[in-house]
Amino acid sequence: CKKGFFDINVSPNNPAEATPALVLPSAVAGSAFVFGGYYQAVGAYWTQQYAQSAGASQWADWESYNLTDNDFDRQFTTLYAGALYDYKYVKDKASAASSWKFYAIAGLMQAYTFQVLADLYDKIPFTEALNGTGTLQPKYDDGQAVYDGLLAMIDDALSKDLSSASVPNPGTTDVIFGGDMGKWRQFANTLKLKIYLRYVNVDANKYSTQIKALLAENNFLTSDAAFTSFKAEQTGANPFYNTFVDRLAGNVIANTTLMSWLTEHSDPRRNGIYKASETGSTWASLNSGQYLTATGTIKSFATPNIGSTYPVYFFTKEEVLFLIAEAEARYGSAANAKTAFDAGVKASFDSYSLGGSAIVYPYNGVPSIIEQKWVASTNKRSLEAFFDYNRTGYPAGIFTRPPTSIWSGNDRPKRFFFAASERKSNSNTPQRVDLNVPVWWAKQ
Amino acid sequence: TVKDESGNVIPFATVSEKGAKNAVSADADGNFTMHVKDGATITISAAGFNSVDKSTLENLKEIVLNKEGKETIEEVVVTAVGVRRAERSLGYASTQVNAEELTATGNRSALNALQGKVPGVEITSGSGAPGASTRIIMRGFSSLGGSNQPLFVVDGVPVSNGQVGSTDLNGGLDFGNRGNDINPNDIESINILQGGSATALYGSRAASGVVLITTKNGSKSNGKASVDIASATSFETPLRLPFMQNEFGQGWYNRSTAEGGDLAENGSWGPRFDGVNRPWGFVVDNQQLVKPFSALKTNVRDFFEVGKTLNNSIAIKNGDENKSYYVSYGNILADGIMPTDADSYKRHNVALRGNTKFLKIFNASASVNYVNKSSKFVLTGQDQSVLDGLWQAPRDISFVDQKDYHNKFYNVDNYYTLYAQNPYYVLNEHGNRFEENRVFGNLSLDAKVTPWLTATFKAGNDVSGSTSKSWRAITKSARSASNDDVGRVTESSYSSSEFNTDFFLNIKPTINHDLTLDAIVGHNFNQRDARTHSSQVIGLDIPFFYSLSNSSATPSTSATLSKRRLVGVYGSANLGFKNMLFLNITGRNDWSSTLPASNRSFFYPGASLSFVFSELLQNKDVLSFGKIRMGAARTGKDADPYQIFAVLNQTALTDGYRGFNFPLAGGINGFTVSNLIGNQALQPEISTDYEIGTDLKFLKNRIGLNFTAYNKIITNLIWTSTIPSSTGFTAQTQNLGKITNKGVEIALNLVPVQTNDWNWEVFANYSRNKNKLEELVAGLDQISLGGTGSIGFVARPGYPLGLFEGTVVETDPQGRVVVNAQGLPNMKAEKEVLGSSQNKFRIGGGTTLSYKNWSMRLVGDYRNGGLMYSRTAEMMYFTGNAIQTTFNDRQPFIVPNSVQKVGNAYVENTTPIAGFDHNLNAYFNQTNNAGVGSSYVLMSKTFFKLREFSLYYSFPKEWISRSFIRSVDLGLIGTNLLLWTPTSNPFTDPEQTTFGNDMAADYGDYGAAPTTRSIGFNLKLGF
Repeated sequence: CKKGFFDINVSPNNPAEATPALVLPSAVAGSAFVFGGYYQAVGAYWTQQYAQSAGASQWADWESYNLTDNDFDRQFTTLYAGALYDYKYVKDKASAASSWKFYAIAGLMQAYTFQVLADLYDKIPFTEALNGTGTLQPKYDDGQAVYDGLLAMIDDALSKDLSSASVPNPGTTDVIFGGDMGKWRQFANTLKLKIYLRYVNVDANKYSTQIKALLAENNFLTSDAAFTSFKAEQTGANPFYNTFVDRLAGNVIANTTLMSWLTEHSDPRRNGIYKASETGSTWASLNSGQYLTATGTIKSFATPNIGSTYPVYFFTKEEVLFLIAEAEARYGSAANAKTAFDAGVKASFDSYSLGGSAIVYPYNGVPSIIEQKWVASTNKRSLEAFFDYNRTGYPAGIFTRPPTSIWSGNDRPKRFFFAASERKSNSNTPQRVDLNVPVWWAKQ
Repeated sequence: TVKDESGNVIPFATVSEKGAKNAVSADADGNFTMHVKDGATITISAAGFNSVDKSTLENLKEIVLNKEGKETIEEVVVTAVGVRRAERSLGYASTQVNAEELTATGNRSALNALQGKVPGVEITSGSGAPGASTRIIMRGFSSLGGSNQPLFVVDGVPVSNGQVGSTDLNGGLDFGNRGNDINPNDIESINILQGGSATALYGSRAASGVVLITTKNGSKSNGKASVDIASATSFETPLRLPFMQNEFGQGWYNRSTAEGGDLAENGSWGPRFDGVNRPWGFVVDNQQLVKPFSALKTNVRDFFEVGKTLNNSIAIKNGDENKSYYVSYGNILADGIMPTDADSYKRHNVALRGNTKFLKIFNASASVNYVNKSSKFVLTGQDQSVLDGLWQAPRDISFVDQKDYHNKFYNVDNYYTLYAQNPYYVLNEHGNRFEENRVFGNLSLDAKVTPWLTATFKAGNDVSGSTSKSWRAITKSARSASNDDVGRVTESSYSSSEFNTDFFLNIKPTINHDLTLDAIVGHNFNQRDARTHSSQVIGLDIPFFYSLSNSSATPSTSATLSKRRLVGVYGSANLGFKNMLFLNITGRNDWSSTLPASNRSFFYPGASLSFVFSELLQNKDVLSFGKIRMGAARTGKDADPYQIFAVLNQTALTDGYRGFNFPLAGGINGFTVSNLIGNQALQPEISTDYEIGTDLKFLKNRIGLNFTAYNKIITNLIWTSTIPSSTGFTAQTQNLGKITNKGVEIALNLVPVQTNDWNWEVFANYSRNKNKLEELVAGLDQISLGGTGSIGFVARPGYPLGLFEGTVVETDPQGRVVVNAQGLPNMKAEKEVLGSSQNKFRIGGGTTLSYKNWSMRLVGDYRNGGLMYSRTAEMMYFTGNAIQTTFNDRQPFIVPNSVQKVGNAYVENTTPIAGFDHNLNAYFNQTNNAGVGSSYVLMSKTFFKLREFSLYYSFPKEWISRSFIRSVDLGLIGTNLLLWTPTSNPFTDPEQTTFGNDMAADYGDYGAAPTTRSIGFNLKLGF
């Protein structure tokens, strides 16, 4: 046989290599798809912004906390084998070509993504992860060790030449900031602040110097960091809208916990956060677990106001202000904290074009900051509200016990089970830990 | 030529000179050459015939032997590369099924017609949809990642058994496998080769066995043209619909009868039937329908229609020893049991074959087959599926009344339930269409260079082109969003080609009277090409218009090419001693394009022995024939193409419900590193086979017994195994383990009665296969073979392949059920193995009884053991239609022997599960992880089926002898007339599957069309 007769096993269907400019958007989309889809949804269920509708039961298990390790397994896989590995691919390729802007963006987004996983699972594969067949059974690192690694990853990204002289410029392939590296510096500072504030229960003073320095530098994000590249079509829409509103229609409605809060405070954001019901009482809602005894269908309830091209937020402007407020309240001045708090509330109203009718809410330190952060997070950053609750216990005394809860007391979920696919294929996966056990940084 | 009374050639007769040690064996065509003195007497003998003495002074052009008794002709079987050999010389088991048995019931599928007839082979037809695939597993699973389907060989040339289908849970499709394309009326016989000794020469593709199909030709017509017509008409009805409760009616948690309450429900968790007239459905234009609140016992059965299948065929043939032709046309027109023709299958087959001998030593033959198929398939699974609409209906709702889906009460806006779609709407407005044109054929040239050397060249090609189109209507309900659809169109095309050549020399030197040699040396080339292209738009603009142009959305498209090459050289030598002892040695080396260059070439040898010990007996009255055979052989198998290098894919994300595809808004494209990591150390899978057996015939062949025991060991299993996603990948194609299949096969044939008028025959076969995954590579505890999120389908070392893994109720140290605050059982943190999908044993059997012109035939099939997942069962529990859900009259009950965990102590549980409450539903419905754990939706696969029944009457020759008609046979035919299952499975036919036609199919059924029973008649005419 002539040479090459058998050498036909290189796939004609797939490229063997791709540039950072083609892989970075894919990685960012992977993070956005998970964070803006299932993670947004479960965060909102567990912070009682959303509830299971009567006449359906798709997410009833989330409200009864009756989960298995199959729940969110796909999201874990999508993040590791999709986004996280793609960030690594971008970093490797960019590093080899000194494309430092790509390198930095991929590094920062990788750190951001790892942190969410570490906060959900407490322990995750990190130091030995993403090594292909090099490490087929990556070990799980403690959350604290992951955090150390994340800070190093952020510093590594910032240490590269990101000046205008550094080429290539990612331009539109940076779907978050269009290649504006100044904004990525702000993103990095904001992410660091978020990370530092996780330590308030475990070692509050560990990063106080760094926090004060960041506050002094005051170079945080002043606008949203969001993924907005959605299309109003079924294979290109916002993932929450696509699956939770459109495909599994009939399941997600307003939760009475937040709805009552908004109504009690006559907060006009209600009309932006939720969509009025189509039939019956305009702002009808249910408590978690109430779907069992209630009648009606989704059309009789208010629903989350998320459309097909609604952005997926990595940070919102108001969230950043609340982060600054909390940092000031704990490590800086109360006056600065109140200023940031008020600006945060105002920014939240602005995001619904209600700046003119913004309410000035009373400021009483961290409880008020986190309570406002919870309200403002609805539809946008609900999972962060879940972390905030576990970290601070706020908003206090407001969440109801679902009558369907599998736990007899007022226990609430504090983490995810280790993913089923990992348990089956990675012998280093830790033993199962119950959902009501706090993660390492959480309030005990 | 040596022939029987009917003029058929008797191959391999023994010719010996009287009083001399001089003997030869005739060839497959009954011809022999012998050097003797003039006037010598020769004896011509063949097993099953009375031997004849002839003088060389007589005309020896045609020697006719008389049959000794029925069923005793020396079996000649087709073996590897189409070479015919006497069965006695084979060191392995081989089963041959003849035309009559394949066509008795007018089955459109020759493969389905094998059910129950062949020991060691499991044949399953996955659903009652017309044209459904047939799965064939020989001697257990021998591959994890590769195909477990046998190689199909028609007249010595491999053909495709490809399947076009999808196992998507949100709409599965099965447009059938190509192995079923062959017109059964064209088939002369099917040989089943199972062991490695039998299949070694076919190379790596035969590792799961071979189905050798020999087609009819005109060579035995003695120059008389004949025409055969067969026309079968049959009518199908569902074989098994679930048995359901008839005590409780529409409702859910007994909520209220207000709009959106119980009256909008899709299940029977409502009140007890009382027969009182009540309104039902929605109020439309201030009107509401009224009906008695009572069970409609046959509401589901009434929905189905009687299916019809026409199977017509005409064949013309003629020929003699030197030339022949055969022309046939057949068609199948089937419309299944679903209302409308949304489930239909049409097939046209044309076959053209001929051969000619020329220049004394050459024989050329050619065969061309054309198949045209068009079918429509009712989607399986969930999401706007017809069957979901049926299973999710209260026991008091009539479907047939709602046939007019334009009626204001039954239309999309006002269909009685918010949670399912009117099945008539789905059947009429959503749809698909499949069309395939396929041509396969071969050319063969033999040259008998010398009396002992034949050179053969065969080339075959099998080309098919298919298109499919599927669509969903824009569906918008004023009342419920759950069944809305923006409309979609998908157009796909597939083409595949399989090109194969063989060149081999058959060497049969005359050594001496005692010693014979039959050897083959050959070369094989095989190339397979496939191309698929698919485009889809979601979100239509113009209603009811289905074109890719009809959307403003970005179309998603994909196209893939696949090409693989295989070259093999092979040889075999069969050494015979005194027509009694035969040693067969084979060897083959393959080179495959799908493996890394360093592991591309692999060699595998084999040897087998056959000892016909009855030759040593003087008296053959009791034991007429006895043979012991044994063999050992090895087969290597390559991988699928493109498994060894890592690549990137255009990014497409999914959460299991909806996807997010690149390019992004703004025209930004994206690629993601494929989740499949490459493996440049991949090696071929090696199957090593040992078999031993015996073939015995007693009392002048009135009793036949065949026994085979085998052990098949497959190492270096190729499997795309899951690796932890934390590696950055999810899968790698690896060599990761070892499987064994140990089993026995027994076949028994009896002729209890044989007189001039009466003939009664009985056959039975028993097969048992013990399959085990012996080992996996270090670090892997188990691998996933598919399944669904709730119930896994896995393989673990030490167990058979195909284990079900699901949730199990948590118990305290004393074995009591631990319940939660709701009184519902807790599930253990870890899923556990609930059982295996594999049968323990199978028994097939049947009988033929004939009296004068009447003949009757029955075939039965019994399978024992194994589990399957049944979505039907799950839906029956979910909707409260299962009889089991009426437990305790749906009154509150405390889970028997249950405890609650308080701190670290277990205290007796006093929380009842409320009746008519969510928790009652939760107890029976596994989607809430409650109740009794996963095992309740796993059904036993034990069943008995009456596979075939036929009663034929042949018109007496004297009635028709004056006309041009040669024969008339009229038959009453039926298939799958009866199904028996254990009482624990009142839901489904255990053969049903929606998971393709390989190992994954063992998982079970996710909403396939019910299998059918068919009854009809068949008319066969000969001219």
